[in-house]
Amino acid sequence: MKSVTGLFVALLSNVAVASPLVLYTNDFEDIIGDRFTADTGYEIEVVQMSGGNLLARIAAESNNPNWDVVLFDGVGSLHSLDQQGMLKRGVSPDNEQYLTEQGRSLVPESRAWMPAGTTASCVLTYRTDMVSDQPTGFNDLADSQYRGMVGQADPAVAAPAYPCVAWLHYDMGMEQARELYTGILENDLRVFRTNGPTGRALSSGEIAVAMLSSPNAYAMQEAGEPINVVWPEGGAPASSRGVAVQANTEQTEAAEAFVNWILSPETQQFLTDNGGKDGLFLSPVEGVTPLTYGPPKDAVYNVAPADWADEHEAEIKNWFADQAVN
Amino acid sequence: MPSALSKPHRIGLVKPDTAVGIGISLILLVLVAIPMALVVVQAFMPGILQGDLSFAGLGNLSELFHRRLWRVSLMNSLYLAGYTALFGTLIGGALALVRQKCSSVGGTALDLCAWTMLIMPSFIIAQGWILFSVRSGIAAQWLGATWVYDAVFSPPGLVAIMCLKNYPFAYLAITAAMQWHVKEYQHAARLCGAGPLRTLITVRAPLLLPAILSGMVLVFIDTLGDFGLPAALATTYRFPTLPYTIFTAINQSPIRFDLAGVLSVYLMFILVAAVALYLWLLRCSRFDFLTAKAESGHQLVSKNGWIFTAVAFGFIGIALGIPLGSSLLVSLTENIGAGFVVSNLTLGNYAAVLQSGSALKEALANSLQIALIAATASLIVAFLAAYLITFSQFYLNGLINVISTVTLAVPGVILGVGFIFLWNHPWLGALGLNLYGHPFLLVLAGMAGAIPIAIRVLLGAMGQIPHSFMAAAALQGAGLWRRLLTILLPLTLAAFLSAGLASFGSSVFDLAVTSILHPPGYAVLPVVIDRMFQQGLYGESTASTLIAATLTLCLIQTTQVSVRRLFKHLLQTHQADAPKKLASAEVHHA
Repeated sequence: MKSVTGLFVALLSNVAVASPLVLYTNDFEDIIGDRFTADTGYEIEVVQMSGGNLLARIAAESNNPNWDVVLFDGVGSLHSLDQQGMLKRGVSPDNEQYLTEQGRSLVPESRAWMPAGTTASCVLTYRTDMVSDQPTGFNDLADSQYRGMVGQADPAVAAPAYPCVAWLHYDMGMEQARELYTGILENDLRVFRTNGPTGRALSSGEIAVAMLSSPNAYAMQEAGEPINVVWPEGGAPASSRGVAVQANTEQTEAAEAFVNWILSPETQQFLTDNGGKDGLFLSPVEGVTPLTYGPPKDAVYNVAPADWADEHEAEIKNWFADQAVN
Repeated sequence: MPSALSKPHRIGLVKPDTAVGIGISLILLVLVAIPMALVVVQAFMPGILQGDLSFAGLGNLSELFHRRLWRVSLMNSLYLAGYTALFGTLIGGALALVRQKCSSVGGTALDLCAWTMLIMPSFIIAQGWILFSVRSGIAAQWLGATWVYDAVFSPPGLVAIMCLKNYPFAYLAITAAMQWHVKEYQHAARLCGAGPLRTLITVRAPLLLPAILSGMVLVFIDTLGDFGLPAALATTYRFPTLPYTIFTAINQSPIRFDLAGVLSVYLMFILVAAVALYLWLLRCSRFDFLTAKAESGHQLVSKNGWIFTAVAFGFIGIALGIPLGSSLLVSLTENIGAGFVVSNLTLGNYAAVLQSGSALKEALANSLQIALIAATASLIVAFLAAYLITFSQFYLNGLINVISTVTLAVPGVILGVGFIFLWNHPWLGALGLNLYGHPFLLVLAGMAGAIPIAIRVLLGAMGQIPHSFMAAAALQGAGLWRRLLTILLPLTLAAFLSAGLASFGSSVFDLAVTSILHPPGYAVLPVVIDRMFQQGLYGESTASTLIAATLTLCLIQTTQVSVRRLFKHLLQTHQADAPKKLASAEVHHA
């Protein structure tokens, strides 16, 4: 009994005091903390969660947020948080001056978040040893030669998968996009939880073609997997990562310093070089050299407007989820 | 004696029972009922946490009939849980019998297998089966058994995997109940001309009905609430169940806590119905069959014991060997795609996760610490709760029973969200009780998850103790605590031990709750392992899992052996004598 009491005391004394800046992120968790502290002097606690868990936690904490800044892949979700009054508006970091034209186009009117990088949310990736006629566009995936051999991450679960579906609906119109997806689903589309399992299914030959996020696709190719990546004509559906400050944070100065730090060319280069497959992104700031094995330099990224993506999110996800069950 | 039982207040049981009952009810309210209620109330009063008490109507409930995904999820859950409860209990019961007939080595191996399956997170088991069954997996590539894919990734295949994962609930409940038996009943049947099989079916099995039903209910509700296995299998075979769909409802943007609450209501309704049926079945008859002739059950190696031993090891080979063997091979492999050749074998994954300052070491220490505290506290609460349900007429017994049972099936992620609602509320913060972001909340969440398991295991054993034992002791002047410690505890020691170890094992790997409640910078085992999985580091994640599971199993087995040795004298003499002494007291009282 004494030992149990001792453990209680030990556990109670092991309190995680949330005095440093608290960052919620679904990327770069292993490399951000030390570097940010070294560069700025601010202490930071990095909390990593999958995209879905992160949003659930933020929603559950809405009464009493435990976070100060968020770095999230999917500006549609940030727009949603902004609409709920959970993000500090009017953020204007000094390093905004380094934004590229593409980066500037992603800054919302409310200035509730700043762009932190863009990736293709789905590129056509196929196994060269299993596919004779390579697919050239998403329409090809309804072809019977690919029956049961195409896979995609679940837009309801995987953070980067919704921007893929959202762009197709935005670009083609709701009806046409539904026709496209109905054809692909009737061709026995395999829906995996996230991009990770989708990539592994492709790697193991479980499927022959995947609509895969560009970091996963190029990392697999670099690892020597027998796959080829097709960048769709007219550009790939894309997902933009954003960084935002919690509306009622008590650490405004450190939080804004974090946003500024993320937008510095040095930080962007650091994240590119040290982020592993997360480093395969299009930087929103000037002067960053991308990884050599990533997407082509002239690749076009198509991001659905954040407000449109947010407005239609529930409708598109529910439709997809209901159609995807057997 | 029944008169003494039906009117316990005549022998002075009311006051202590009521005090204990109120205490247990309060604990269950805080740990389980209030967090769950907050989640459910969200479905109908979305603004309640902001102080807005306006009622949004019952419209959300009808969405089940409009959303195809929800309908399919409901049907899938019922299919999976129903068939798994039936066949899982049959397997558990059959193995409990095999355990008595096979060699001691076989019996120990069966126990070890059951505990391993119990503490092993279901997603790890599923991953093992996936690695074995997929078209590029071991079965197809090594054994040429291409049919395995279609057999496993089908509704009956999932039932089979769930049976192999969840049978330990039935096995442990029935094994614990078989600790005591009265041979005279069987001898009488045999003298009347009944064969061994008929004796088993018409005498032994009915007497074990409380344990069988307990086991079956446990298997049903654990299957119904299991998230890990269907979710992991969903990476290859899409089979949405209610917990999986609830998980997606609160893991996507926009977050729909209200809809998750609606689905939780349906899930709880099914569980309450199952528990009500279980209680009704128990009340149809009396099962307090122990008498002064009761003997401690031990392994009876028959002349054909080797057949039973072979059956035991054959089962273990399938249930444990296939998934864990696959995980072991992956943990020893550099690159899965390169095949299982000597040049591809490595210990690098183990070295990587055990290196100095690794997240695994810190997470392991934290999780074992939390599980130990949670299990100890849970065991005390569960023992008292099981006592109340079985022996007292405390007016909230029904509530205790329902709360503790329903919690078994509620997905951990829902419980986690409920915990945030409660423990992160500004009102509690003003009182200095804002525990969200504190490791102690993981202990409370571990308790909330472990208490129901411990109660179910203990109820099966306590169901066999005649109420007259306790009543007779009370008549002799023994107070409540003395009766609990000198009669109930020794008679249910095996189940008590099982319950404590089951609580410990289940707490160590509770992924759902810990992933949503762990404080920033506080590493916990399931989260660390899951993160490796998410990153596709199968080698390191399987290595971490095997290290953690081996260590946990060693702790469980050491505790089990130590306690059995420590209480050997008690088990052989005190326990054997107890029924006789109590029966004697009963006779005197009569």
